[in-house]
Amino acid sequence: MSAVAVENTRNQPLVNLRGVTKLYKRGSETVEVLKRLDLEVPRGDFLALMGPSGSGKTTLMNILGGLDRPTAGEVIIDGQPIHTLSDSSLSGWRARHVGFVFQLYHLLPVLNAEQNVALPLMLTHLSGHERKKRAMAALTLVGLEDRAKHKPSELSGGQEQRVGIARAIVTDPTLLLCDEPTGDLDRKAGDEILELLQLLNEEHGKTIIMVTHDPHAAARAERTLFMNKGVLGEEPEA
Amino acid sequence: MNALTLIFSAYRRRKARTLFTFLSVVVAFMLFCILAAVRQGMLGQLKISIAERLDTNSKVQGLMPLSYYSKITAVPGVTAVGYFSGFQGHYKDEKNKFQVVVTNANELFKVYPEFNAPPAQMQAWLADRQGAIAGPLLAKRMGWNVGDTIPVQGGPAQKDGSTTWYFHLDGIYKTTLPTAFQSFFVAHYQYYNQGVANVQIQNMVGQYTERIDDPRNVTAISNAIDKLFENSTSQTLTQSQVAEAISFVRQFGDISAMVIYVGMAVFFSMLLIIGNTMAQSVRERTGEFAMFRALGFKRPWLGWLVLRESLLLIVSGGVLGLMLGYEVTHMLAPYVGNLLSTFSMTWSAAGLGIVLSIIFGLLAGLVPMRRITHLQVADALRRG
Repeated sequence: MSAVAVENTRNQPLVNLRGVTKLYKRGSETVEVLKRLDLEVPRGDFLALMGPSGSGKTTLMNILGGLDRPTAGEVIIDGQPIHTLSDSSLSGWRARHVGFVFQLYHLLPVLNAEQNVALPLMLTHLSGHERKKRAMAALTLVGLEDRAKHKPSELSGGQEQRVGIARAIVTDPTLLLCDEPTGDLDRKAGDEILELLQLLNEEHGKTIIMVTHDPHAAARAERTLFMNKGVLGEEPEA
Repeated sequence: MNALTLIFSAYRRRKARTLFTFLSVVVAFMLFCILAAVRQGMLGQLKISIAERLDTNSKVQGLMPLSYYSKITAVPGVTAVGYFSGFQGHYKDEKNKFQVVVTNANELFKVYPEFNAPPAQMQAWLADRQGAIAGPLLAKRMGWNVGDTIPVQGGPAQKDGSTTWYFHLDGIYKTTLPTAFQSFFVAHYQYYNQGVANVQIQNMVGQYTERIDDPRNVTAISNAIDKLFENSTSQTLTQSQVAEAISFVRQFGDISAMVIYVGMAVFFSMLLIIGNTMAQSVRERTGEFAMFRALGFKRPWLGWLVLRESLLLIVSGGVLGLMLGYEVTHMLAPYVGNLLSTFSMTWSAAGLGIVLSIIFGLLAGLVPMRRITHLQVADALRRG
C-alpha cells in the first residue's frame, strides 16, 4: 500500500453506516427497528448512544459488532463492508477487530480472571506463555494484576467489569463496543469503569461506542447521539 | 488454556451433577456388561457344543458305574470316551472355592480338543497319579505355579479320615473357550477313586462324554449306548451336547430374554436421562456460548466443544463402567457358572459397549450442539 493510500485510509471514518435498515417480524407484524440510518464514527472517537428502551440502540450495536445483519444498507468498518461477509468470516472479523463489553460481564465463573481475559487469545496462534503475558498486560492496564488468580465470585461487580474490559482489549481490537457497561454497577464503581474507558480512548486511541441510559455516563464520552424509534439525532426528543 | 480446559471447567460448574451423571453412565454400562454376560451365558452353551460330542448321564440324576466305560467304548462310531466325577473344595480359605474335576486323563484331550497343555506338562501329568492341571484364571487367582503342591480342603472324606486332598500342579492348560472354562482343576480319577472312603461313590462316575466319528450318527449311537444299560439299575440318557444346549436355552431362554429386555429398557432410560442432563447443562450456559460467539468463536468450533463435552463424559464413564462390569461378571461367574457356564463378558461385547458409548455420547451431544450452533447471539446475550 502506498503512503497516499495509507493516509486516505487514516482519513476514512472507522465506522461508516449507509442507509441501514433493520426489520423484525413479530408474529404477522413487521417492525422497523432501524430506519435508513447513516452514521460515521471517526477513528479514536468516544461516542455515547442514548435513547429509551426499544429505540434500537442494542440492535445498532449488534449490527456494528457483526452479531446481527441489516435488512438493507451498508456497514463498513475500517474499510471492510462487513454486511457482505459470511457467518464464518464475520466471526473471524469480530475476533480481530471488535472488543465487546457487556452489561452482565459474561465471565466464566469457573475460570480465574487471567483465564477469562485470555479466552479471545484461544483464537490466535500465540503460545501459552505469550497468551499469559498478554492477559497479564491487559489486567495490569485495568489495574487488576493482583487479582489475576481470583475467580469472578471473588471479585466485586466493578472488578468483574474491569476483567470484562481487559478481555475486550486483550486482542488489541480496532473498535470497542460497550453495552451499558455501568448498568449493573453502583455510581462509584461505574465512575471507575468510565474513567478506564476514557483512559483507553485518550491514551490508547481506542474507538469506543457505548450504549447507555445514564446521562452521567454519556457525559464522559466525546459526543452523544440520541436514538428514538430507529432514528439517530444530535438532541434527545422532547 | 485450550478446549479441554473449557470442557473440564464446564464439568466443574456443577460438580455434584457431573458426578451423578458420570456415575449414572458407569452404572448403565456395568448393567450392559452383566446383560451381555448373561446373553453370552445363554448363547455360549450353543457355541461351545459340538454335534460330534455326546453326554451320557444317569436317567435318575445319580451316579453311574465305572464299568459302563468299557461297554461305551465298544459302541461302533465312538472314538473316545471321557468319564467325569469330582467335588467342590477350597484352597486355604472357604472363599476360594472351586470345582475339582476328576477324569481319565489320557482321553480328556481327545474328547475335548479345545483344551491343551504344553507337551512336557502333559507328560508330567499323565505320569503323576497325584497330579493335576489347572485353568489359567484359577491358577492366577490362587497364585499357583507349576510344581506347587495344592492342598484342597472340604472334599469327601478319604480312607484315613482326612478331607484335605493333596495334588501336584503339573501344568496349566490352555483353552479357546470362554472364561468359565478357564477355572477348572482337573485331576486323575484313579487317585480320587482309590482315596475316597465312601464305598457308595467308589467306582462310580457322574457323567460320560463321548466323541463320535460322524455327527450324522448321533441318534443311532445315542440309542445304542442307552440300549446297553436299559435293563440295569442305572439307566442312561445320551444326547448330543448341541441338543442339550438347545434344551437348556429353551428352558431358560424366555426368562433370560425377559431379563435382557427389561435391563436394556433400564439402560436406555438411564441414557435418555443422561442426555437430558447434558442438554440442561448446555441450556444453562446459553449466555456464555453467546459470549463466545461475540468474541469470535465460530459455530462449528462451539458445536464440536459441546459434542466433545458429551463424548468425553459418556465415553469415559462407559469405559469405566465396562471395566467394572468386567470385574463384576468375573466375580459373579463362579456363582452362576453351574447354570450359565459361559457367563462372561466377551471382547465383542466390550467393543459393542465402547461403540454404544460413542453413539450415546454423540446423540446426547447432538441436541445441545444444534442449540448452540443455531444460537441467536444477540437475543442470548440480552437474556444473560
